[in-house]
Formats: sequence, C-alpha cells, structure tokens
Amino acid sequence: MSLQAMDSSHVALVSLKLEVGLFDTYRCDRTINLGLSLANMSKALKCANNDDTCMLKYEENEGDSIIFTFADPKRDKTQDVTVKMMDIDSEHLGIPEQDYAVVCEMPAGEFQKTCKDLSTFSDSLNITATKAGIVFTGKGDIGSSVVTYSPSSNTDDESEAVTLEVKEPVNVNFSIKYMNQFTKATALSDRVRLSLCNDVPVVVEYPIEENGFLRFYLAPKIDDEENME
Amino acid sequence: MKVAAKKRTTGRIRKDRAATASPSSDVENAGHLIASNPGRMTPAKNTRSSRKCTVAKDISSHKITEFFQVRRSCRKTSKQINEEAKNALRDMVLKGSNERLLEVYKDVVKGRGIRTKINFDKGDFVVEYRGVMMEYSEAKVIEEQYSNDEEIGSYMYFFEHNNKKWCIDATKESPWKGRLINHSVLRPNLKTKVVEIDGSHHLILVANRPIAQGEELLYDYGDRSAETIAKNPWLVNT
Repeated sequence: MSLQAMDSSHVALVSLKLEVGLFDTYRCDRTINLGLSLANMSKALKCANNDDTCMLKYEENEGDSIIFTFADPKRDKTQDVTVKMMDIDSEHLGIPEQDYAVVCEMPAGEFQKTCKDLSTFSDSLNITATKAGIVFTGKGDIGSSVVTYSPSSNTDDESEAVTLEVKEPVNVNFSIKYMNQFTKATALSDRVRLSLCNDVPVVVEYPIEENGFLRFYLAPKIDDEENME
Repeated sequence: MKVAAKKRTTGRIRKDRAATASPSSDVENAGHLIASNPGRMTPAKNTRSSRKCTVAKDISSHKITEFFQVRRSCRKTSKQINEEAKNALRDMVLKGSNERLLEVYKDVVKGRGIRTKINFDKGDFVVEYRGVMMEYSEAKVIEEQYSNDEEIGSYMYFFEHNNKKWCIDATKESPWKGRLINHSVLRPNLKTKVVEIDGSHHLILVANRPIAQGEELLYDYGDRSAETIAKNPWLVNT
C-alpha cells in the first residue's frame, strides 16, 4: 500500500510505502487509487489506542468511503470509523529514478537534534557534503550553528554510526521548518537516510521494519543572493 | 533554568524571523505606499508584514512539482485499450480520414499510383480498399463481363473471410485511393486485413513496416493463377 501527499504550498512530498509483509492479512484484487483528506484520516486514526489493531477496508460497490476498524483484543472491543473519500482525480507525482551524489545514514535521533538545534538560529538549513564529511549549517542574524560529521569508522555500534557515500560534493539549502516536521517520524526507525544531489529535492527516508518506508521529499530553497550570503 | 533558556531562544527566533522577512516586505510596501496613501504607513506595514511572513516562507523554496511531474493516472484495462483502438480504427475507416494523407501520382510504366504524405508506423491503418462488397459467385459473373472489355483494369480484390469467399469490386472510378495502390510481391509495404465494423466487414490496408513520407504504397495483390500471371507478368517480378 502506498500513500502520497503534498503540503499545501507544494514544497514537500510524503511518500509512504507499506509492503504486504507489514500486514497480518492483506488483500487487494486490483490496483486502485483512493483519495482521502489527511485531516479526515487523522481524525479516524486518533480514535485508535496504542495497542489496537487497525483494519482498513474499502469495497468498490459500497459507496465512496473507507472503513477503519480498530480492535482491542483484550477487551473484545471494536470501533468502526467510516471516512468519506475525496475526489483527487487519481493524480499523483511521478518520482523519477535519481542517482544521488551523496547518501548519508545516521541515527534518526541525531538528525532530529541537529535540525532542532539549527532551527533556533536559522530558517534555512545548508547541507554541504564532501568525502571528508557532511556539514549542517544554520546561519542567522544572531549567530550560527554548524554541525560536522566525519564519516565514522571506529564506532563499534553500527546503529550509532554516521555513514557517508559521496560520488560528488553537494551544497544545498532547504527550509528547516519542513525538516523539523519530517523528524517527527524519528520514532518510526533508528536510522534515517538522506539522499542528496545539487538542485534536486532531498530525500529523507525512514525505513519501516524492512517492509516499507516513509520518505519525505523536500524541494531546495531558491538560490538568490539573500540566501547565499 | 532550562525552561527559561528555552523561552529566550524561542523569543529570538521570532525576532530573527521578523528581521529576515522585513527586507522583502519593505520593498513591496514601499511600492504599494507610493501608489496609495502615505498617511496610513504604520498600520498598513504591520498587518502586511505579519501576513507576508508566512507567505514569504512558502515562496522561498522551489515547488516539488517543478521536479516531479504530475501524472494523471491513465491506467486502463487491456479490454479498455482494445476497445479504444477498435473505436479509433472504426472512425478512421468509416470517415476515410486517411484519404487526404495520400496523393495520386503518375508513373510512366505503371500509370497511377499512390504516395503517402506522412510517415506510418508498422501496424498502422493506412487506407481502406473501398468498392462494392459482393459474394464470390456474383463477382465471378461480373469479372467475366469485365474481361471482355480491354479498357477495364483489374480492380477486383478476392478474399476469404470466415470461410466464405468475398470480393470487393472497385472498378468504378471513385475518389477512394485504396483502389489505385499498385502491386508488389517483392517489396510491399502494406498488407491486407479484414476487419469487422458494426457488423459489416471491410478490407483495409495496414503498414507491414515503417513507411516514410513520399514512399509509394504497394501491396501484394495475391493473384497467382497461371492465367493471370501469363497476362500480367508484373504480378511476380515487381
């Protein structure tokens, strides 16, 4: 099951993929596009408790809505939430295959902290990556914060390592506001992967148990003199 | 202490944001104010710059749609695709819309021939062989009559469809260009095909290889009886 959504200003794109392996039971007779308002969907999901199981159900001849069934097996309780669908015209963005110049993996929590720290100084996040390391810079009127990671080779714990693959150096700017939103997904995964290329949207990817991913695509900031200084 | 520190930083961000947002909004306000009312400068500026702040942030980044194309899903079932292809062919055959894409030319040896004014891909419908559709027995009688007249060329195309023999007689002069296409057994670029449209069948000519603009259209007449070959040796040597 795949989900795609954009923010209202069309700067960021969310792409969620949940592979069949993640589901207890999965049945889909043919490829189908379902349009839902994220706001309405989150209303439904808020009805769920942490340990509930969730079943999504859509049947073609049962009108234009999706049923979320939350079941609490301990209490033999189920809750059905029906959400009306939205006509989205079966529209989606084609994400082209991209060979990224830089791929960096690091602990998800580390990336979250870096973004948070930098956002206290700046609206924009500059990422510079070379073979020597990856540098996150937030520069504002009151000062700046610069976080540098040299690719770690001596870390014993693999999940703590920052790995960096650089084919070509990269220097890109992004709105940090969006990055901070993306890092809300930190709970999903221990690791985060950043894929970067000059003048191309960055991909911030959180793997989901080897059976899917949550990816955020963020368009770069417009390079004008003001941003460059 | 931690809380206090946090508060101070958030205070700073806000100031910082206002500072970065103001240069651009100043420029816009200046233009706006010159045009309208200088007396209301202060309140106008305040309301505008606060609104501008959110807008400015959104326009400072590229849009993701500049990088990723919006794709309207045009997935169709193969049944739908076949149906559409069939309808397109039906329209083309019935309207004769390809007729204007072909031109008649004169060849010293062969007489009239047909050239294409556009390129065709392999498998494309090119033109219909239009004439009077008749059953085999009826056609044989007519053919007999024609054979008495030396002036009449061969415009009768015999074919089999659903185990029944048919003939299209295009002897009568008409604007339909299918009847004027010359024969070639050695290098044809068209082949004949029978299609059912709305219950009746039509003989159409389809490109059997890519055809370039300006090429003469040719297909194999298929008549190989000894008698006709004797009369028309070009059936086997062109």
